[in-house]
Amino acid sequence: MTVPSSHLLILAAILFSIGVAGFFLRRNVIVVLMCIELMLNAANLSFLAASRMHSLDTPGGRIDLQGPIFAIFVIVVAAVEAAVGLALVIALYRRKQTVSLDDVVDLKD
Amino acid sequence: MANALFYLVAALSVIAAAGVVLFRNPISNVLSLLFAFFCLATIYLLAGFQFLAATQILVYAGAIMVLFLFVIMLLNLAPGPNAPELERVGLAMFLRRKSGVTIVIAAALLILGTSAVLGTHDTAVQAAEAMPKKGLDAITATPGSSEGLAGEMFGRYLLPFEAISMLLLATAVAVVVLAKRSRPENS
Amino acid sequence: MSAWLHLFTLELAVVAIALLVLLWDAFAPAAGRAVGWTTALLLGGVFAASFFVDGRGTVPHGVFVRDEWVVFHERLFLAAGILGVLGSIDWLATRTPKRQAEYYALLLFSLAGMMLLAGARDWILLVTCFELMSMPLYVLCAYGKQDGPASEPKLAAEAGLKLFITGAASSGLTLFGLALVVGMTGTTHVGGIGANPAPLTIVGMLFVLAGFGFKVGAVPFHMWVPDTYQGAPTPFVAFLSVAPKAAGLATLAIVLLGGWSADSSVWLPVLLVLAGASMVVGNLFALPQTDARRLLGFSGVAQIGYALLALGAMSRGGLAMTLFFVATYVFTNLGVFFVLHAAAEEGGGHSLARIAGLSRRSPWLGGALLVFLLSLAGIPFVAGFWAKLFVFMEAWNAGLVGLVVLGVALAVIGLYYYLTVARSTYMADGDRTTPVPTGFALRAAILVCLIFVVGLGLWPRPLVEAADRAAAGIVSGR
Repeated sequence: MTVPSSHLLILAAILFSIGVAGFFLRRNVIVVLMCIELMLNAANLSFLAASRMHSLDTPGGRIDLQGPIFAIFVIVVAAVEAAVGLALVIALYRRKQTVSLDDVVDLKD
Repeated sequence: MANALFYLVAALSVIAAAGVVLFRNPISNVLSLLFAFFCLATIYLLAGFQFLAATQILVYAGAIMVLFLFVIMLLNLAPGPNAPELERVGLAMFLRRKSGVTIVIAAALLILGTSAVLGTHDTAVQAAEAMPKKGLDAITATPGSSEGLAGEMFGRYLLPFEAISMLLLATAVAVVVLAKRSRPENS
Repeated sequence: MSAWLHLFTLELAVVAIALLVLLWDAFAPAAGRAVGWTTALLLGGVFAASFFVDGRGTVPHGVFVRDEWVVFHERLFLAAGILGVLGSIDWLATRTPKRQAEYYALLLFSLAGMMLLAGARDWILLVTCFELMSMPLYVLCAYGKQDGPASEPKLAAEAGLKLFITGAASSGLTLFGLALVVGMTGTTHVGGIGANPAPLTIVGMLFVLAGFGFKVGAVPFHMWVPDTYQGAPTPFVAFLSVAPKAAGLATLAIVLLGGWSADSSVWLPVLLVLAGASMVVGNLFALPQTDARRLLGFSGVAQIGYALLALGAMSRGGLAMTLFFVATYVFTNLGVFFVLHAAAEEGGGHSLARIAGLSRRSPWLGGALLVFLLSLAGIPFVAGFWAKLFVFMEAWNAGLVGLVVLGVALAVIGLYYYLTVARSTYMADGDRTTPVPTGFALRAAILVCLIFVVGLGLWPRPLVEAADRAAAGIVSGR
């Protein structure tokens, strides 16, 4: 593949923006969690794009490994956040029978 | 060929990501996200990151998405007959604003990011692309891939690795605490 | 590996206590206060050991550095952890007698994350420790969600969810920003940014700063603070309001003053705007609050503004005074929340009307609350006075005259609402006259906070000197 790495970065930016938009637009907590996962995936894609950029840059074809390593850690963080987030959703659902953020308004001025 | 495939998959991933935001049925959202993850795995593969591609499918598609599906099924969250429109913001718990504002924010983020990418294009990216291109074969032939990853992971990054194992243990405890029904306090 | 394992003696000890508590509960579940007291005493042992364990050094590749900076933070976090555990013992033993061990274990995991965070000099370790610190907090926020006084709406699950959603989104923001930073600089070392960063690096760092802004609760990323403080269990809020903020400020110092000092013209305006906005919004929004915990939430936002102001002085002295400010804030805020918890524990919530007449019912508690509030307001001669004075002096010396004047003006407003709270405990009549019942552990925690607040007010020099030595680990020279 000879696609310039900047195109991968732009794709990551698009995905991240969609994730942010969804985070603000949606009211279902589970979908909001999915949008966060999308943001983390965009982060992963940029890690790899940047790593690819540096690898192509280096004579001898040595791969820049920091991007992939960071991406693996991000995947773990994403898994942790999904697990905790969904557990909180279940806890909330037991209490209020809802997953809509519009119904979560007991705490306010 | 590989380039055409990349642009095709990239377009598909954007459409799938948009589906995550736009579909009303939570199941459709999950499947759309799943599709986006597969597209990303394909891109990782095309870019020469086989191990990450495998991890993406195993962990995201295999574990995280199943978790989402499981919770949606468990809570039986079908869209109601009068499912609300996407009229107000999801962060409505803090702010009640028109969704236009958030679209402007997201668009601004996108423009900012893209312009920064294009601005950087002159320097770092161009220097990188001035080098002779190496395809998939050149990258896999180097002692990079999973051996290289393991070497770094258990060498330089051993400490973060240990820290994240603590994080996973703490998460296991935490999720049990949250999801467990409270035992009747017979005191 | 064994060559640097001794650097982590204290962190490993904290994790070991967490595992011990979990195993104890799994094999020999104990009701009552035994688990809590054991945790507190063992943590006290670790705190004492921190004066004898003297490992200094650097892990290969500079991933982690243990110096005076780390030692200072380890002791600060341990102190906050001990007090947090002490303050929770009575509450847990009465509210959720069968589910205590998980609470302590999660708190200890969070503590271990904070202690590691202070020495992290690598983005990957920094992010990992940040998650290790934050994740248990989301869950602890929703702790005891099934229980709670019947008179009070059950808000803990909502508070936990709000903290989680903002926390997870800010993690996404930080990680995306870091992808750009690491990608552009080609290194995961925090100090790798250097002078004249690429435009994409700057965009990435702005994302990272926004993510950290969420974590410390600086305006405009503060909206979770009052909601969470109001909804989560009060003994936990006491811990939440101090230790993670101290850790977040430490991270900001590591990243900005330690890592990116070469090009401060980019981030200094951002930091100062955050500081100014936090002081203004925090103080003004605290004025009309009727719920004591919401009021303290906004007051916490304002206090973060003062701390960021000292950070913006960009000198070793400024950083030292940030540390001094944070350390006094830890003891003061813990104390305030513990007293509020004691007053509200018999039911009836945390509205300001609830603590009316507190000083007549329990003069001891009322007096403690008065001292803590005076410290938050910055009245001589309690700890908070020196903290505010030193912060303003350092900012003034750094030429931030406008912000100092603004800060002093807002501190006067702060004085008004803090004293309003104090006045209601002395002047107003409550609907009850019997003394407030408090457990022994809670009383001990309040007493320790009181000793530190008064002691540091009378004799701040040792802590100032310790903070100055610690700051030298990040900013060299004067």
